Amino acid sequence: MQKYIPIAICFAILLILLIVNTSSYKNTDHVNAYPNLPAPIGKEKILVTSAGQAIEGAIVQSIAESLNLQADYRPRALASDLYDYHSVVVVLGYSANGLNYTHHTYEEELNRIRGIAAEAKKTQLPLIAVHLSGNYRDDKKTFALFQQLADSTDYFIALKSMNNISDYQRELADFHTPVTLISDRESFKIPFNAAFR
Amino acid sequence: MTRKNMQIPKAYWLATVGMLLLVCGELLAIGAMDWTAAIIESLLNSIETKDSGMMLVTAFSYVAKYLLIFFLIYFGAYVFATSICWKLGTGVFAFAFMLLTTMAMLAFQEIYHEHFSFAAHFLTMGMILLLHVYIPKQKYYYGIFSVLVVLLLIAVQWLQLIPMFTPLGFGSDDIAAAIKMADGYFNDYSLLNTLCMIFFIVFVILTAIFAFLVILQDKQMHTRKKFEVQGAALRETRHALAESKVYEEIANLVHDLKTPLVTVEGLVSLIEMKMQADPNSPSAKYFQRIGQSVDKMKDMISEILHEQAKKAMEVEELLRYVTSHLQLDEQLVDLHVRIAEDIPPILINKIRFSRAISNVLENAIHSFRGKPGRIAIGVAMEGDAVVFRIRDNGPGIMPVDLEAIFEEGFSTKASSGLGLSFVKRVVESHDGHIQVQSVPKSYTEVRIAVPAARDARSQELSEKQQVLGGKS
Repeated sequence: MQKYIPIAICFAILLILLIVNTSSYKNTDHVNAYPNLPAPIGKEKILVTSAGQAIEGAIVQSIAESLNLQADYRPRALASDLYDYHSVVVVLGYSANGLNYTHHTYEEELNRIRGIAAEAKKTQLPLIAVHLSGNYRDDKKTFALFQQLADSTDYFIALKSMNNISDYQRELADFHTPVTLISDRESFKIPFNAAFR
Repeated sequence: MTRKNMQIPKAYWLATVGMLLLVCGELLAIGAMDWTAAIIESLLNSIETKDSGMMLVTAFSYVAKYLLIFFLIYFGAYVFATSICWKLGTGVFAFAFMLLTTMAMLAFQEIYHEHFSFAAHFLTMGMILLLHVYIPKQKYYYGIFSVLVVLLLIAVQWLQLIPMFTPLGFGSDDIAAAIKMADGYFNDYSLLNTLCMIFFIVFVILTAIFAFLVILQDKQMHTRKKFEVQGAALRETRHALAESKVYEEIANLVHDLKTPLVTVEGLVSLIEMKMQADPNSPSAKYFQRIGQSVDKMKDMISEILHEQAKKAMEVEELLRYVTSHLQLDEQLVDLHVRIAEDIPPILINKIRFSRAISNVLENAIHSFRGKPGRIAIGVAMEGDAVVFRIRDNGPGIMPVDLEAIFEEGFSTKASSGLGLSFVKRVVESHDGHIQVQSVPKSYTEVRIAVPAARDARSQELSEKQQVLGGKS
């Protein structure tokens, strides 16, 4: 019987983890948010870049293409690249493998995002922050990336199912930035399209 | 070599292999940077071209990569924990394994920041411990166990890619999340939910079937061995039964020999009486020798018929009996007998025990091969035992032969090879033991120890006193 104790411990911990994960994976309580913007804030041509080098940037670019928006996906774009664009879309999501793939460190990424945000603010370029990863990338590093561009953000679109969505909203509250929370990634198309048309 | 001595080097060797695998698992991700880059590139291309097939290939690549990494970590930790806890039992091993793998996983998270699922980790760990309990420790154990761990890890990696289990905490790592998000974008999770679930179930079933077959095969092997042992015991019993029947026949035959022998004895006495030969004439000597031979034959018959019969006997009397029957006329043997004072009698079957001593002496005589030699018989008390030391200065016995001299059929002189095995059997049937020491070209000493029969003598004396008391 004694030999089954460690096995029972493993499965008990597993059970606790499953319960904790399931209970934390809930839909966010009701928050006030725009279903979409009443009027467009951005213009084409759009620069789609990534903050954290997750693949979600490529998904946003693909969605932009499907909406016939004139957009370039440049995950490693610098502040100096903004001159050629009329709007910036920053897709949030920290990916350790993505950063390795682009040969960037996390600190370099923070600096790059900080530079883009500052340049967008300086040139009054509309900046839209997008968080489509939900709970997959609801971590401190992604939030720190978001904090670099919070004051320059003109519009924020995120998944409603994120556990820490209130932290993001609190960060944007000081700047009266409009927020749209979507239930799934498919619903992203409507507010994203409304931001430009 | 003791069991402990045999296992310590193996344990060290296993601990080294286990630690090596564990370290390789931790560092493999650094060496596999290009592989990771290929996975990400393939995923980006699949999103760009909206190619579900390419995404599926990426999923296979993901499973393969993390299967390799986690196999090295889990199996390395398993081997290491087994080797360090081989003396401490399953419980300690299990906790050591849990500690090692959890530390390895934490280190992996700390190094690579991949957010691996701890739910999957505890599931894997629990399943490995379950397999450890049920899989029998047999030949090729580590090989068989590694196959099971591979099958289990493949199942767990596919589980990580099932989007419907994401809320439970499975597949929270960087690449699994990316693959699932891509599938969500293309197929609304239907492809991975279906395919990964199928793969997960298939590999869980494969693991279960393989484990079941291993357990079944082990049980079959055990049953076969049990049958073999039972078969051998049955054969032995049959043999013993046949042997006992033969002995019974012999005993009947020997018993029947007594009648004609008594007739011979009576008739010889009658003839001797009628002839009234001069005591110094050759005829009288012939009659004496016939009488001795008949007596010896009667003794031998008694020995066969009363194998277990024992009585207390003085050592001096025994040795006198033994040496009187030795044929030393044509030998150049110098025989010395030295019996320590106050040696108690020994409880023996006179005929069998004297034949055993004779056998040892005849072996010594034979070893001289007609050359002059010396045999010393010493009897002394050692503890509660009466010890006979029969030492000759013959050519001695080679160390290789010394190990086999008590085996039936072993002989260096082209004889039946039953001599010393018979001696051993007789000594052991008297609760004694026999040892042989020999230095080639120097000496051979046979040491026979039998328990002293002090009680037997005192019992015999008290019986005599009782008889005398009764008469008076």
